[in-house]
This record gives sequence, structure tokens and C-alpha cells, in this order.
Amino acid sequence: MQKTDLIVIGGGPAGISAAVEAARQGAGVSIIDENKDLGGKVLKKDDQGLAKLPVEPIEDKTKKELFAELKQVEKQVNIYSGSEVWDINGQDLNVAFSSKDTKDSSSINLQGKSMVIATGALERAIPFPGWDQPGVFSVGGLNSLVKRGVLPGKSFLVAGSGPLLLLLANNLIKAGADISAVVQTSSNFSLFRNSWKLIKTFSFDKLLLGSKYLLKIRAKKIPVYNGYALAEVKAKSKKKEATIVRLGPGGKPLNSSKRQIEADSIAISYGLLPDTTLTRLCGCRHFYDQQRKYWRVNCDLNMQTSVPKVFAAGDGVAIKGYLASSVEGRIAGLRACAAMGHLNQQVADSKSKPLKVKMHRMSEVGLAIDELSRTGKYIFDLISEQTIICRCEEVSLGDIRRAVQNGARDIEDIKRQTRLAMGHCQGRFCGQVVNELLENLSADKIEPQLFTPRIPARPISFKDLDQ
Amino acid sequence: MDSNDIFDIFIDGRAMKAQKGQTIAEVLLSNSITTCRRTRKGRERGVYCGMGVCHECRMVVDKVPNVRTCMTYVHPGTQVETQDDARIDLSYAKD
Repeated sequence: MQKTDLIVIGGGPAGISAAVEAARQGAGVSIIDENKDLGGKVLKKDDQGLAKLPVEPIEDKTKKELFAELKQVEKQVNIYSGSEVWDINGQDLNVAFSSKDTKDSSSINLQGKSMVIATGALERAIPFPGWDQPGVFSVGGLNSLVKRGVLPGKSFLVAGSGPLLLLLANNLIKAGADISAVVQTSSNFSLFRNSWKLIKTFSFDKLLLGSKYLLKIRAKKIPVYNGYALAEVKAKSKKKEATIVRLGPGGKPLNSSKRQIEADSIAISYGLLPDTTLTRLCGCRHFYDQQRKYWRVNCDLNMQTSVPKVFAAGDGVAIKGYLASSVEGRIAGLRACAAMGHLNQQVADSKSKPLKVKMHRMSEVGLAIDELSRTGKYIFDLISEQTIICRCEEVSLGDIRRAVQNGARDIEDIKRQTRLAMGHCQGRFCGQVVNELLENLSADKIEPQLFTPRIPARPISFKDLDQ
Repeated sequence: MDSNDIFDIFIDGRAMKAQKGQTIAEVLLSNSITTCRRTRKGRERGVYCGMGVCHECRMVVDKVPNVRTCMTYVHPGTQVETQDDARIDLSYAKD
């Protein structure tokens, strides 16, 4: 069993910031990150020189500053990269993690005195006919690939909702790809309304960036369909044929107004939501945020969860972007130090106060941006009986309907009858929509539920279990 | 760039150029190979989330099945095979 003071799970902006603040107070820190490079998705350090696209100046500046801070305290920070936490104990404050090398994975147990969980976000995945075929990517996934010079095809359709669509489209343009269309569910009116919200929160930098991306898209004469949804994807020889449908009042699909668009590959996303795998496994309390429409871990303003000495920060708490995530990480790092006794509570209070003030303004920005990803409930009307809901176990909407007809009353019933959420991803994707589907199918009001988390949180071999 | 950084990996027996630091999925997708495996019911699947959580990109790598190719880095001579979920060969486990 290895020992440390602060365990930081996730080496993105929030995790690195927490580690830096804690190390500055004299704590010994261990950062565990599943990637070879720290930095998360936006500030990824690129040691192999594989990043091919020019980076936004603000991102580059933030990255350089953050890694410089980390370098200053490097003697106190152990970094376990390429390592995935598969077990976490909130009472005992220890974790088990393994490296991903297929030949020689070895599991390590790490004992800490406090923890900061900063594991970031997942893509919100709403099923539609054909979404599970090869060549249909999540926007975030494709974005990471494009930034490293990987283009699966020449032409792309970018669809869904939220600012990530513009980000990907911009990167595709930079990479020299063709974009068949950008298709997103927000009508022109709601885009205008949300832009006004961004103005009110003084997020001029975000507006500027968004406007820059939009202008680039217009300049390339790329068709933009606002108020449209991706309804179906079919394979058409080596390409994909996408059917898009116009959304009428209230977001209802107008089946009379469908069009077909061709592309080599499709990218789809309906925004981001926090990855709650480890906070749940840790025993932290969670709640369903009715406004943002996702489950999230209960945290106070000190980033303390319901489990003592376990803190959480960043997009893994609520979607807020990398800048706000970094601020939250600092608060969590300071408070973790106070909890461990490395820092006097009053000193921690005074140090975290200006950060909390900053956080207050920044979290409003996060909410405004989240609203851009909002899609109405009618998006579920696009799902057909044969559409796969649980990709891992190939459970269709029809299968779920039959389970409900056979008496399934909650998601655990559905799981037992159909094997939904029993596959490799352990409900990370189907779990996002199964509550809503159950409610639609049973015509009862359903309290949103989470699946009971199980170990291993990530794949391990039997060798890893030998302790 | 070091010449050691470019080497061959094998996809279903076919040699393909890979660069040190790339994931297997990146090499596949750069060569427009989008299918990673067939499900138990015969559906073709490939990279979806690109970050190791959906597990759709899994293939048989160096005889080990269910390896997430989006999270696994290439090394010289990596053997990658399209996985058939209905026929996972566990004979490697005897070693």
C-alpha cells in the first residue's frame, strides 16, 4: 500500500489546480490520470508532438501557466499517468488503480488522508436510429482525434446541440475537412436568447469565440440548420446518409420537413454531463438537477461532498468549462489541506474567499453555456422500436417496452429483464436516458434513479485482484 | 523526428504505418477503418466516445480480447484483430 496526503483523481484543469494549491501548503499529492498526458481534454500536454492544429491563444496561455505552477511544486507531486482508478473507498480514503498496458497491468493501492475527485465530463448521448454504427462519433471524441490530425473521412456532418458543435466544426475546418452541414436543435430565437444570457454574465470572451467560429462556418458556405435534429443515419455504400428533421413549436419534429444529407462520418452530441462514476462508488450523495437535466454530486461551496475529507471539483461536479474548473480545483485543494490539518481553517477561509467570489460569477457562465445544449423532450420521439438504447447489450426501445409490459416498474427491473446497463460501459450511456424512456413508456411519474455502482469502475484483469 | 518513431503495426494481418504516441484507434481511423468489432448479434461497431468509457472500440490486441483501442498506444509490431464478440478466444489466458 503506497501512501500520500492528498489523492487527486483526474489530472485535468481542476485536478492539477487542486494539486498545486495543496502542494503549496506542504501536502504530499498524488495525481492519478487515465491518459498519458495530463491536462484533460482542453489543456492536454502534448509530449509526443502529435497535436496538429493551431491552439486558441487563451487555451495555450492557460495551459502554459498551469503546467508552470505544477512544475514549481513537482517535488511534492507524484503523477501516475496512464492509470485508471477502479476502486475507491471514501471511508478509508484509499483507491486502487491500474495501468492500461495490456501485457503487464499491475494494480496499485494508494492510501491518502483526503481526496479530490475531478474526473470531468461525459457526452450526453441521446439515441436515434442508426446511432450505433461505425462512423458515427461523439463530438468530443471526434474533436480529440481531429486535434491530433486524425480524419476518418473527408466530409463530416456535425449534429446535436451545444457549443461543442461549433468547436468541432472549427477544428474540422482548420484540419482541411469538408463539412456537409452543421445541424443543431436550438432555433434561431433560442440561440439569440442564450447569447443575451452570455452578455449578461459578461462572457464576452465566449461570445467572441462563438462568433468567430460562426463567421468561419458562414465564410466556408457550410449549410447551418438551426432548429433541426438528426433523425436517422443509414449506411450508403462507403458513406453515410443522414436524415435531418425540422423541429416545430415546442421542439416537436415536423415529419413533413425531412432532408437527406450525405457525409463520410457523423458527429453527434447533446452537450456534456458530469461523470459521477467514482463519486457514486465513493458513497457521496447525489441529486438530480432538474434545471440542467443531469445527476450530480452534492457539494457545498467548499467543494466538500457528503463524505468527510472527500472533495470534488470541475466538470465532474457540474459543467462549467476549464477556466471555472481550475478555480474550483483550487478551492478543493485548499479545503482538503484544511481537512487534513495542513492548513488552519481561518487561513483556508481567507484564501478560498476570493476564489469563491470568482466561482460565483463563473458558474453562471457555465449554466448559460449548458442552456445552449438544452434539447426538448420531443427529441425522444425520434427513437424507433428498433433503435438500440443500451449499446453494450444491444437492448432496443422495443425490448424496454416489452419489459414494462411485463411489469418492469423501475430501471433495476428493466436491467434484470433486458440486461440493460449490464455490459461493458455499466450504464454510462443508457443510464442517461432510461429514466426518461421509462416515464414515457409507463405513463407514470418516475423518480429519476441511478444504477447501483459496482467495482471495477474500469476494466481490470484477474492479476490486478491479486493483492 | 526519430526514425524509431514510425513503425508497422498489423491490423488483421495487414501492415500499417503507426507513429509512437498514437493510439491504435488513431491508426485505424487515419486509414478509414471504422469497424472494430462485431457484437454478439452481429452488428458492426467502432469508436464512439474516443475516451475509454463506451468500450465500443474494443478489439483483440496481441491476443488479448476486449482491449479499448482508443486508450491503447501502439508499439512496434502490435497485432490488432477485429473482434467477434460471439467468439472470444480465451486460450491466451492459459499462459
